[in-house]
Amino acid sequence: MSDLKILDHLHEPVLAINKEHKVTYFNQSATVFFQTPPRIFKGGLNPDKLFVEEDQWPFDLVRDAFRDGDAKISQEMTCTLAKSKNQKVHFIVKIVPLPASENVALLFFRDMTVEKHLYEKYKTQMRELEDGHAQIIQADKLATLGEMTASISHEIANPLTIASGNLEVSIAMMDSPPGPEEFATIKQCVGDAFDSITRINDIILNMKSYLHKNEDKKEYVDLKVIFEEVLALIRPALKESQIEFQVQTPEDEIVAFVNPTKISQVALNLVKNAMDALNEDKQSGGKKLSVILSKNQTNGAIWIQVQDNGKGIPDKLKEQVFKPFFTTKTIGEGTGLGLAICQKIILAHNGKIWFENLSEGGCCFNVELPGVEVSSYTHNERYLSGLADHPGIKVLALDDEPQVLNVLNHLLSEEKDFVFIGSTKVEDALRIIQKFGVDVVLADVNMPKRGGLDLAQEFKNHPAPPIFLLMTGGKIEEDVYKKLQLPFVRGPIKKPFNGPEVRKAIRNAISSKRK
Amino acid sequence: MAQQGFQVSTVIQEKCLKMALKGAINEDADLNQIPQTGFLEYYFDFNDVTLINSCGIRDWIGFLDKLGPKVKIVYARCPQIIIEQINMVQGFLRPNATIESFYAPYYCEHHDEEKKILLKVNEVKGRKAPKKNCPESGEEMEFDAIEEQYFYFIKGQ
Repeated sequence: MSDLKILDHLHEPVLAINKEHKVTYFNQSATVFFQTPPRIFKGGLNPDKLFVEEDQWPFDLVRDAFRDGDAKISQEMTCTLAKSKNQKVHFIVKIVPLPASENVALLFFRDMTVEKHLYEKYKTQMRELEDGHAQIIQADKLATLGEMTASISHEIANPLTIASGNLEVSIAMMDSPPGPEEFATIKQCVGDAFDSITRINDIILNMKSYLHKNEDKKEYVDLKVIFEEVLALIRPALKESQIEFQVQTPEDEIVAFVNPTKISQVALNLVKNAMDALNEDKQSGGKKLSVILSKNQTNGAIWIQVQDNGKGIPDKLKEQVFKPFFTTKTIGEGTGLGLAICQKIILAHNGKIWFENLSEGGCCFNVELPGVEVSSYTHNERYLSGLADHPGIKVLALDDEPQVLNVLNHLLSEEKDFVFIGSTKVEDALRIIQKFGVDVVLADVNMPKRGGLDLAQEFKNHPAPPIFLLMTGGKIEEDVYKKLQLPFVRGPIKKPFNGPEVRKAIRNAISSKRK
Repeated sequence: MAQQGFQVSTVIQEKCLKMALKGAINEDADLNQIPQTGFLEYYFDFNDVTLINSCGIRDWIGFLDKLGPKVKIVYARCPQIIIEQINMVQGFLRPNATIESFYAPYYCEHHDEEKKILLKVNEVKGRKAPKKNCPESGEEMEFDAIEEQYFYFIKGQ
């Protein structure tokens, strides 16, 4: 046998075994690691007997190493030491057969016990930090809402008064049997009461939605709707402060792939900050606040701007604005976390947030979020990159309805190899396909402006177009897409569809492309 | 099974700080609870130490660095796990440190039992294990490690 004495000096445990799996050599580190005296090793021990869980020993791997004459490496193993039953060890073993004539294999153990403990502790502490952060965010939301309670109560009190007044009138009119005229009035009163109650319900739903705790889920949402909901919460306070409030949004929807609850929090924090700045600065008249939502037509990025005409942010405070617990407000009026949380949320969305003092006076907070296609691609690709040796299937869905994109995203996320990209506009989809390359396009045919057929036409002369699967909620004539004479366009997937149906259609499309 | 947390009990005898260490010396062990100044001698009783891992060794060596080279350090009742680390890790046993006593593994064939016997360093001559008899059977026990390796630390004492 080769002289193995040199292995005595290694810090790693090493054993040599013969084909009968008996230990024929051990180094000093092996006696330390396995807490087993030399006497036991010398007695012709089988390595599996070193552990309580004898059946975990990789017999097959040892056999394969002897048979193939190649080194083999085990998976990470966790075993209890037979000689110290209160101690678990984590290790990987490399089995290296020596030249065939010797019928011996060396077992090199890599002790990962400390690494494993530290890793588990790190994960636990990260989870605790995340939980702590989620609690801070929730506390900030409660604090913000708490500060607006007075104005929200007022906003509820008004429709409540209207509802009760109308019901009172109705009851009074029903003291005697109502004639046709009275009946019409009662109907009107009940209708008004119902409208008022609906208004109260809307306010409460907005509050609940704002306080919703589902922190980590990103969805396709129309930011215009999100902003309408959240601004409804602060409108009463703005009205009370006599602030002239304006919202500018484009005609089209602004669909983003974001966490709606968190973006609501950013919107409310920015508007409330602007409102507080105005209230601090001007006691009466001339206070203006505007929210502008827009989309960069070149790169699809989404802009949110919140402007006020206050006195702006002094130079000496500019560096501190986004720092946690920084506030210029008096105790009890603010947590000092609002802008720090906004920054963290926007950065987590791969966006940017900054502010500028306006030349005409006042301040503007700007938020830039990546377009829906880029954010959904980077979000899903991030998960895929964890899978080794798998190229993944990039699927772009074009649909003007965010809910359809959410459904498709959900259906495709059930299988890990799909990278889903949502898009609501032909121009944006085209740009993203050209930039990242896509295997399959699921395209809605019936869109308000340009739709799936228009997008397919763009690839008419493309050397390697993606496969198009058209989606439709209505009827699509066979000859409509045949007329296109585009070989990469496949027949329609009819809405409503289910997960297996869509996934099968995509996989079929991919295999037909390969053929 | 979870390891017991690290604890230190101290007794001050003039300029000597006597400490009984207990539990696991690992990444969670707080060595800062041991005063690092004001004593000329540090006496460590390792009898109840159950584990020491690489994080604990790193912290221990860092702790010895803070004590400085002038204080006298005494290790007493070192269990086998500590002796193995002393033999393997540079810096665990400083020139200003001595081992007063330690446990050594013996095997009693009569009882088919492993026993840890407390030895004084001066009992070991030429890295040969002293003869020890089983307290119950009276039969001579076999040293249950490799002498040359286990008594490696005695070089230079």
